[in-house]
Amino acid sequence: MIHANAATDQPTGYDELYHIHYGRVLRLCRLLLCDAAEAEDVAQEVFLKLLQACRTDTRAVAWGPWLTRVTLNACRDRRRSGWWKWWRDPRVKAQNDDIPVIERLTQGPTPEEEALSREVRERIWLAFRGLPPRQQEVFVLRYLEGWAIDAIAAALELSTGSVKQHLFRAVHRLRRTIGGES
Amino acid sequence: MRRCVSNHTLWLVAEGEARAADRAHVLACASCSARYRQLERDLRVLCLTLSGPPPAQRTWNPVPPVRRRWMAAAVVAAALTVVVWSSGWLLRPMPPSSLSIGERAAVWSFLEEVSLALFATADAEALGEVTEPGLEPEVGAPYAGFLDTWPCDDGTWWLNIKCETQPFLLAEGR
Repeated sequence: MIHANAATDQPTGYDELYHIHYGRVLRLCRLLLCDAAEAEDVAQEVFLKLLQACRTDTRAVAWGPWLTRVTLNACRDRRRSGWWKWWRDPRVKAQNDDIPVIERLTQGPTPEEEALSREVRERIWLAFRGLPPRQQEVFVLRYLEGWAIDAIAAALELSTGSVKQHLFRAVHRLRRTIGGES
Repeated sequence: MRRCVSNHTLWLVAEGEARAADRAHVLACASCSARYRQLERDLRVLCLTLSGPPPAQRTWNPVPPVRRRWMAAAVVAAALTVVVWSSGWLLRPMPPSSLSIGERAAVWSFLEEVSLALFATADAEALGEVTEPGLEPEVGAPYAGFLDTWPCDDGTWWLNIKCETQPFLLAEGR
């Protein structure tokens, strides 16, 4: 069953939302949790919440941002649980596989980017895993999800200044790994 | 010429959050323009890398998670082994120590003193110094309590000052 949300002109049917957003949510979970199995688990949890919300919430909801917010909170909860902290080192990484490439970058890499060595990519991933969770979240939302800084601040309940600080620090640390900023 | 902008300001320019003066400077300054283009390239590389799959071969992971779990288990097992072994070592039967002649003499004299102290009452009984047959002075009073002959059990115990001060002597009839 597919509905159109009158206020946001977005689909509100669970099936359609699932097809549109599942890949994105899963990728977000994998980025933030660094574990494919855990990411799938959390993504399922998020879509279970979506199903419940679709059944109960009759208001006009922008489901895309809603899903992102719920995903961020679910990942944060998972990371905060005691056993997770003990069991998973933030630098321990996932051996993934097939994270879907996001839409805004599907035009493909430039020859320069094609030539990126495996070592550089590994260093970038390692640096990303080493970022504090908040910086990871902010970076993902801004540069991989394409959110505006104001929207990130609202979603994470931070000030825009704080978001900018997190974002700049994340960019600074990541750039150092590829030698772009000394 | 205006001083070149900081990395933070350059990033603000890229985010569209910088002041007009800073933007104008970045456009005018060759050095800052080059840095700006480098920043854009780096951001593109970062986005492209992180939006793709992570490298399958984790050569940069010094300790894989599975090995870390085994290491934790090995550490716990080693700690348990040490605890068990050390407790067994501490509780082992002590072998007889080899004493010198002087130490042996001191031990024997101590044992003799203990022996004398332990058997003093038996000796006294053998010499007829016990007043009541079968009840030694030291143990007579407690037995009196068991045999309901305790003199301080009746209702007038408070009249007898010895019930407070010397109850055992009272029980022995002294």
